[in-house]
Amino acid sequence: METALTSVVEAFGILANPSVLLFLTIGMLWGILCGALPGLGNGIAIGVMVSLTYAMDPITAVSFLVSISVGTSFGNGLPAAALGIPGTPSAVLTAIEGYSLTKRGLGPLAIGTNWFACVFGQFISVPFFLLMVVPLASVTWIFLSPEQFALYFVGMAAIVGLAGKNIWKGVLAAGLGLAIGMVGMDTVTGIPRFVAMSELRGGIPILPTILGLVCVSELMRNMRQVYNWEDLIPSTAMALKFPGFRILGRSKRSVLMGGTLGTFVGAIPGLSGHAASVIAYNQARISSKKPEEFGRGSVEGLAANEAAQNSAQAGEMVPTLGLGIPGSDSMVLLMGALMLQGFVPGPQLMNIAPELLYATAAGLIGGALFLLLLGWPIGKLMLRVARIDRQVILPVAILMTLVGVYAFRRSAFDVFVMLVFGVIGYFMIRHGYPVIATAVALVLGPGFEEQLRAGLLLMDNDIWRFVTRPWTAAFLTIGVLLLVYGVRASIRERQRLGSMEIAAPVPVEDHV
Amino acid sequence: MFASVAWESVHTPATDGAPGGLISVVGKLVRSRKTRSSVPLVLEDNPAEVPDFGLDPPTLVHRNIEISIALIYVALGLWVFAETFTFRESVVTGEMIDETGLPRLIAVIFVAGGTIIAARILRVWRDAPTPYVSSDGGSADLTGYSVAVWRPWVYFGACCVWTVALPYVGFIVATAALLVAFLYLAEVRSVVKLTALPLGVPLVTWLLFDRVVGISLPVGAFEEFLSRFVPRLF
Repeated sequence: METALTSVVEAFGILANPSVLLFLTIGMLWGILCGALPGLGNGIAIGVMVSLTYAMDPITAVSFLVSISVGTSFGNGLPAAALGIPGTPSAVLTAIEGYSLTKRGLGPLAIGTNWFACVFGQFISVPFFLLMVVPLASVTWIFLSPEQFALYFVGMAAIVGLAGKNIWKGVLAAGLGLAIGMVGMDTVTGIPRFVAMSELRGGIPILPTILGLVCVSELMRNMRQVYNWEDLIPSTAMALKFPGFRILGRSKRSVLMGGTLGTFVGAIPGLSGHAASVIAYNQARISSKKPEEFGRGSVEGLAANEAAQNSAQAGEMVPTLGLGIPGSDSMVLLMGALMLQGFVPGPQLMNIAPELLYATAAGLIGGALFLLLLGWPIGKLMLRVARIDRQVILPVAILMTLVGVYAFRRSAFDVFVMLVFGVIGYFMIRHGYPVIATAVALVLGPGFEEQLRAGLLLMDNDIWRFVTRPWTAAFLTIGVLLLVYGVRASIRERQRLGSMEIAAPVPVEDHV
Repeated sequence: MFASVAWESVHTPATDGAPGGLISVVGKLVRSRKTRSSVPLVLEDNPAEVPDFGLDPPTLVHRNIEISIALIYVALGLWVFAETFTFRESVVTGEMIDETGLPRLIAVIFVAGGTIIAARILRVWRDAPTPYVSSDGGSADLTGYSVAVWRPWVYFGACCVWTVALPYVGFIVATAALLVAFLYLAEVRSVVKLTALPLGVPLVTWLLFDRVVGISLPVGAFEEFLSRFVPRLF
């Protein structure tokens, strides 16, 4: 509790730094913009900006990247509520409820509820985030290799949750990440593995690889078609007047419930903001006095969904910072940026560098304060900005990613690595292989192998002793449960997809 | 029901110029509740029912490419397995799982997974009415807009040329040329945009990285000229 309070105090101290405030503002604006533009998600938003963190101190860098995440979460609800276009899958429910309200002439209420839920969802999530991450970080201090391996196992098991609709494709994608991580010197024996050229002696550079898989691949996919966002957006103009706190305050119960559920669900490795928003939405419907409004423009449903989606951002940071297990593309990129700053992702991260916790809290609190003060006018502005030229934004985004990767080490090799993995990721995205599983496995893989082998050596190769250590057994059990849950969910998804395929009328032509 | 509407939205060519895909599917679904009276919706019939968002329609891809990817995995697995026999002998002895352990496990996964996916496609190869199979969650293009398969590859090529030319030409000139190519490929034909953006974006980027952030970028004649007038901040 004391450390959690210290973190809040330290966070406000960080926010008093003008350079942090400046970058936090830039991060928020950039995040809201990327969230509001359909097709640009958190991954691209952070990926394009990672290069700017090279010259920053770690605290500013982390606050900056966290603020981008906060901004994106807010931004993607705006076109969903106002125009019926969800920027990301987790804003689908916002599109259903919010746009139903807008169509009934209640646009200001829809956008206002969206804003209210985002702001207070963020505020609710911060204490829960700190209260969860601090005990985790203090426990991991005493962990030896077997416990650390078990934690990595939880992270690897959680990848199944990211596996998508075909479990085998998910496994192959994760395997690719592990294989990439094996290139270079073996960390236990120092033996070179899969070193085809001298540049690979130190391994395949991680950040260009992740940027290629997550960011460049998506941009390449986007470049297949030329159209403008304006074409997707209805041209009807809408006067947006702030509906007032008294009206918005009526949804406070849903916001509280959504914010709390979102943080906890987001903290489970492998579950995302999408899962959090669906669970909170369902919960709000069950406990609502007007369940008949759900699906037809329910303020409660919209509030619960948006609050959960936003608070899940803080939830995702619990396993990322507390245990070293990133659960989403933005968290993997955050990890990548930390590695550039010289930090080693893993269970000991918070113990070695507690200032990263303060910086994260600063990003979350600062982001929420920014939204509270400026979210409404900026939200209104972004609804207009969403009409800007996609044909210009996408090429500039590719360019900035290229320049950023080159600038880090002035290395053409890094750029080629990014481009090659961009192509690989492009095929993966098109063919249902989850790139996020590859990216997470790449980050966790080296530690997973190292701790397993070091742990077995420590236990004199006695597997029973290895797995029956109390913390190890507990984490391995959690990992197995996550694995079973993920496989079961994937199989059910596949069965439902199969029934749809049977019903499919005419196949759509595809080109790649 | 949601699925059938979503499916129809994706697979029916747009007549009103509106696109399809995940984003527009939902957009259309939400908007269609007034305009598409012929399509019954669960939400209309039973408003308390929560729509099932797990039912995105399958994206169909050509089976030749799908099977090629699966076979690449098989080949990669075989290569990884063979490569583990070429590792130098370790000085660390007594390891239960040594440096070949995880690579061999990955190799087995690659071979098994690739074979299963390939077998799945081959099983229905002869009886399938079309050469298209479900990509199991692959990203779809927006319907109603033409797709240029070649465009990402030209972008890729342009990026490679930029990377090679950068040290020789200098950052600003190389980047300006790249941006002109990018914008032209994106079918930007406005002379103002094709001139102002390639002039402005590289200059601002150079100022930001080289002068403000303090990260040096490759210097050409133009950057040397500019350096005389703009001092480094850091």
